[in-house]
Amino acid sequence: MSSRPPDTQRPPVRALLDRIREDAPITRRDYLRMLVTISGGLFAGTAAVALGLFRRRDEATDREVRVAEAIPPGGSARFRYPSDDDPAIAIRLADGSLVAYSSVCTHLSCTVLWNREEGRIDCPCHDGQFDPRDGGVLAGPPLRPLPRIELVEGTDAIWAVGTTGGGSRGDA
Amino acid sequence: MATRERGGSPRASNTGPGPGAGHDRDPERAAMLQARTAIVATIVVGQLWGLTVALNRYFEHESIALLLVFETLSFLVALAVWLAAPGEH
Repeated sequence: MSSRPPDTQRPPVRALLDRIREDAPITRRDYLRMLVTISGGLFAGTAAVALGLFRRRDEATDREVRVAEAIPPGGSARFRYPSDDDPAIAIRLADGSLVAYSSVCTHLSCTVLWNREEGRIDCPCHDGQFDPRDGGVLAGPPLRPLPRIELVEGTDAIWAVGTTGGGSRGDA
Repeated sequence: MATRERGGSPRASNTGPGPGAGHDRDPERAAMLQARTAIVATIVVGQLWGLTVALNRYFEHESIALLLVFETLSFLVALAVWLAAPGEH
C-alpha cells in the first residue's frame, strides 16, 4: 500500500521528481515539459551569442607580438595571437607574400597545418582545406574561413599587429 | 468511527462511483497531448537550425538580431503550447 498522495495534490516538479525516483514510466506530458525546457535552453543559448558571451578569435586588439625573426619562402612559423591561448600560423608564400591566420580550424577547433607540398592549409582531423592566400575554405566540412592576422615585417623581426575577418569561401 | 461521527451510515456517505464513472470524459486528450508534443518537437528542430546559423553569422561578424527574434518567438509559442496542454487527471 502506498502512502503517496495523488499527483494532483503535489506540485508538478515534485510529482515529476517522485515519478523519476520510483522509475515510473515517463508520460507524454513529461516529454512535452522536457521539450519546452530544451526550447528555453536554445533560446538562452542564442541570447548568449547575441550578447557576445562567446569570444571570437579575430576580435580587434592593440597587442603586438613578435612572430619570428624571418620566414623563408614556403616556410611557416607558429605563434600565439591575439592572446596566449590562441595558436596562430604565419606563412611565407612562394611569391614572397606573408600571411598569418588563426590555426584553430573553424569546423571543430583542431589545429591546422601548413602543407608546403600542396601549397594549402590542411586540417588533419576532418580533411578541411584552406586557401593560404585569404584563409577561405577550399574543401571539407569547415563553413567559415580562418580568421586572418595582420603582420608587419620590420627590419629585425616579423610582428603580429592586429586581426581582421578571414577571406571569402573559396570555390571548392 | 468516522462515519458515525458524521451521523450517517457508511452507505449514505460513501455512495461509490456515480453515473458515467469509468468513462473517459475527454477521449481526445491523448491526441491533444501528442499533437502538442509534435508541435514543440518541430519548434525545437527549428531552434537548433536557428542557433547553428546564428553562431556562424556571429563568428562572421554579421547581425543575428532576426535570428534572436525567431528563437524568442519559437520559445514563446512552445511555452504557450505547453501551458495550454490538458492538465493532469
